[in-house]
Amino acid sequence: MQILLNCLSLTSFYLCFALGLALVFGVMRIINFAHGEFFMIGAYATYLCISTLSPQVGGPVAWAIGAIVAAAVTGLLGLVLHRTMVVPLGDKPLAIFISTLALSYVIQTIVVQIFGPVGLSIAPPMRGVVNFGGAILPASRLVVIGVAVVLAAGLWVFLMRSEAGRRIRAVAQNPRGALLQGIRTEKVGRLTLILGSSIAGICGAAMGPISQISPYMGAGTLWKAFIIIIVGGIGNIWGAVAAAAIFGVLDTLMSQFGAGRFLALTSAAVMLFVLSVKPSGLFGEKE
Amino acid sequence: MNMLTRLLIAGALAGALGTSAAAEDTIKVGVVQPQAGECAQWGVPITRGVQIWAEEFNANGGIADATGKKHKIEVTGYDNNCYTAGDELNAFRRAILDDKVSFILQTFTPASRQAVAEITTENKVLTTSYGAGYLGPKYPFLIGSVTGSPASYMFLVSHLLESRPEIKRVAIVTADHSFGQAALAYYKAGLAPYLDRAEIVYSQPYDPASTSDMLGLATPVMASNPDLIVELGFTPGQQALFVEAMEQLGYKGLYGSEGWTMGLVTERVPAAEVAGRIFSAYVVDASEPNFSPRVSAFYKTYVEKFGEKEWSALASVAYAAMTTIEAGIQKSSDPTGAGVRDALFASDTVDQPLFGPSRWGGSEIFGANNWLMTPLPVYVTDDKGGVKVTAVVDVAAWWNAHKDAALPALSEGGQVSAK
Amino acid sequence: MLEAKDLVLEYGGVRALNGMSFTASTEQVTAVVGSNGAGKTTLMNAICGLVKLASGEIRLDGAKLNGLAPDDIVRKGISLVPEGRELFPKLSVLENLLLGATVRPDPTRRRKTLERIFELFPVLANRQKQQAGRMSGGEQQMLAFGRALMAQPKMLLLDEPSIGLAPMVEEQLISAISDYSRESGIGVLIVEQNAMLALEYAQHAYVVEQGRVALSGPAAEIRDDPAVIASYLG
Repeated sequence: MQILLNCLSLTSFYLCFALGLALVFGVMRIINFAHGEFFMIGAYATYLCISTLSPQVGGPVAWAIGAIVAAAVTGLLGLVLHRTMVVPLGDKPLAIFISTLALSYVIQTIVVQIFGPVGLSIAPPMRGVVNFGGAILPASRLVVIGVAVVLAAGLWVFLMRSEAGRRIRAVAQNPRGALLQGIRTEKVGRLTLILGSSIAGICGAAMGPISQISPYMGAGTLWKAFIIIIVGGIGNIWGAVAAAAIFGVLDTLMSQFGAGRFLALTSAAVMLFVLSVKPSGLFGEKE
Repeated sequence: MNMLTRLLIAGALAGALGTSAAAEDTIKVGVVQPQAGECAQWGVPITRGVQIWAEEFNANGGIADATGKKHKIEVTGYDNNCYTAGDELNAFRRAILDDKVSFILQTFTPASRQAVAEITTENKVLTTSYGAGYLGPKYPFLIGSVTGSPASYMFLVSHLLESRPEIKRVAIVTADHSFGQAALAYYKAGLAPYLDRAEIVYSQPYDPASTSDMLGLATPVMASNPDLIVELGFTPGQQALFVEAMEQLGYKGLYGSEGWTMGLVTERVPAAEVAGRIFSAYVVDASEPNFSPRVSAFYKTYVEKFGEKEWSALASVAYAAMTTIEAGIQKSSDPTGAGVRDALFASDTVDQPLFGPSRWGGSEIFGANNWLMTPLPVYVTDDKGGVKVTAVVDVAAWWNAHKDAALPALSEGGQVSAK
Repeated sequence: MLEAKDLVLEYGGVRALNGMSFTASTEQVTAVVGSNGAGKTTLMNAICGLVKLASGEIRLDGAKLNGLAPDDIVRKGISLVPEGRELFPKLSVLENLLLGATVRPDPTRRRKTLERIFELFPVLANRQKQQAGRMSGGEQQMLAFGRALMAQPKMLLLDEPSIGLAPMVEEQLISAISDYSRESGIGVLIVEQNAMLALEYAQHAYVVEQGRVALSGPAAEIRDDPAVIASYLG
């Protein structure tokens, strides 16, 4: 039972982190290397909000404000990224990749300058533990699960039910066709990048209290997210959900049964195996 | 301007000025530690510790050698890219070949010490650590100047078993990298004499990357039902998360590690709940006021300079390691790497400025009698989130009594290099 | 009235459009015919703003189109059914149609247009939920027409609509479109390699060659002139 809850908890984290990346990559075919730094910025924004506000308004409210601030700040960063890199570099995906890589280092360095290289710790805004038949789930992890579910479901509803979401899917499938319908593809790209970045920020807000935050936390997590979207199928957001679950379960079981030190190796092996059997990923279509 | 920038500027200036700036009165000390990146949380406080040690002397015109001549001490930090052995060597090359340092403080991480063994010996640069890790008869300039990592792990866990016979089940939680593996071996060695009454119930190393999911890591530890958990490899923040996860899972036993940042732990777990349950055995933890007035003064200086939030006991560990070098400089009329080494090894005890008379530890582990066995204070937490000294282990006595039991465990863990 | 004047466009040193001029009424079907490489598809792309003109001018009812972004040109009333259709294959038929109405947000008019398209192509009404990519070629072409009409254009551009379709199907489709345009009062500009088919439904026609108009006149006359057929359309 505890193992099951651990699987759920880890899956939520992977999902939360990979979701925004998969969205941006799926729609715009852009690898945002700074996604991890947006996640990190979200965590630091939450840190600031909790450390300054929680004496006045209490932990949970301070956290909620932190999450909103995180979403706003990272959304703004997404907008800046779109303005300054994606639009000018247009159809040069490699150049965009390199510039987001550069951006990730710039953000890291700035955060190191402001907060120092030493990791910080966010006082947990939600204390307490929920019991499920002998197993426990700390409240702060319940928040992560809740955030991941809300983000994934919200994104699903937005993409499948709203007009803006429909336009995003249209651009993802056929940018030229979308242009011919009078869809402002640049605006759709901007919205997608803002959305994906905000998701990273909110995810940072959710994860901050249960992990140590440091300027390098995003970079350390990014490789896993890449593996998840590759295994899930490039461009398929729901494939990323499935892959997050696969690794959530696999990694939990490996830690549980004493193989925790082989995690990086097995993740890479799973990715190579999936690529050799189905080069487009588990749920991807052929390009 | 923060520490990193200052270090960079210092490094750049030293490089630009070259050897011309190396006035012969100046004693140059290099600190090879992570200066950037995640591991800087260890490396930066260690570097600061050495700098404050130097500043204490420099404020009085420098450190006096045996002839009474005063030398200013110049400290430079060199980055080793989070204890990567190859980068350790690169840092040493810069420190020794470009900047001509005479003394270096480095990590105890065996792989990193091994990487620089040749260059330090060839250039007669006395290279110490806040522990031993890797020494050898061919490398007289590689020494361990205090009882620290990884030997302190052995003495910590053995002290806990000796003083608390109710401990029956021990879990060892270590990371799967060079110093985690060293820690695992030393913990096992410390437990070896007591295996007739206690057992090791968990000893699976973890992938450092999996620390992002602390509950997943803690669950199997809890399942092994230990009453003592000894840890090594977590960052201070991760330690706090680990304790939080274990407490949430209902753990009631003891915790041991090299050290803990109690401020982070008590942010997550009420201090009263873990009072008397969390043990550490840093070489010395200056934040504890009673062990030594000199380290307490050091603590005050550090906190004044960098703030309480930036405090790490590792700063005092580095400071303590330098005081052995200090004793050597003061006894030597030729304060070079070779001269200080000769002064330190002139007899089999060193009058250590902080710990008092301490013996060289013998050559059973490394085949070289290059590590100084300073007495080891063991700290325990109180209900205010502070620490107090609970015992000072006479490590030389324990080692003489139990080395036959401990050595096979060290050997099995690949830590014995004596032939 | 769609007017094009002295259009010049170069692709890597080759003049794809070389001073092309024509007018097309927004009330009838105009055909542009010519052999492969005569500049027909380039012309369509230029009208839609997908490629930039070196010089020349395109106006719709007097308002200048060239220089506008593609989505603004759609807003002005130009709707293209591109060669290869460019559908959204994984979206449903209904979603494809609704995306066609991106520039016409008024819900009442949108619903009316949708109903008319379903009347015109009942098969689309029956398969609203189906993925566009899973339909037959003819059905996909209907969807492409329907989607273009959802933008309520003044001028519908058809780029090689017959490619990949069985002769029976293509005839049906073009006939349906020309009926629709007559009833709704929208113009159609069709470029086709299958000249006979296009000329059959068009009122006016232009024969293009090497990026410029070689000949123009009522479609029926051109269709019946064996000399024209032989020299330009053979």
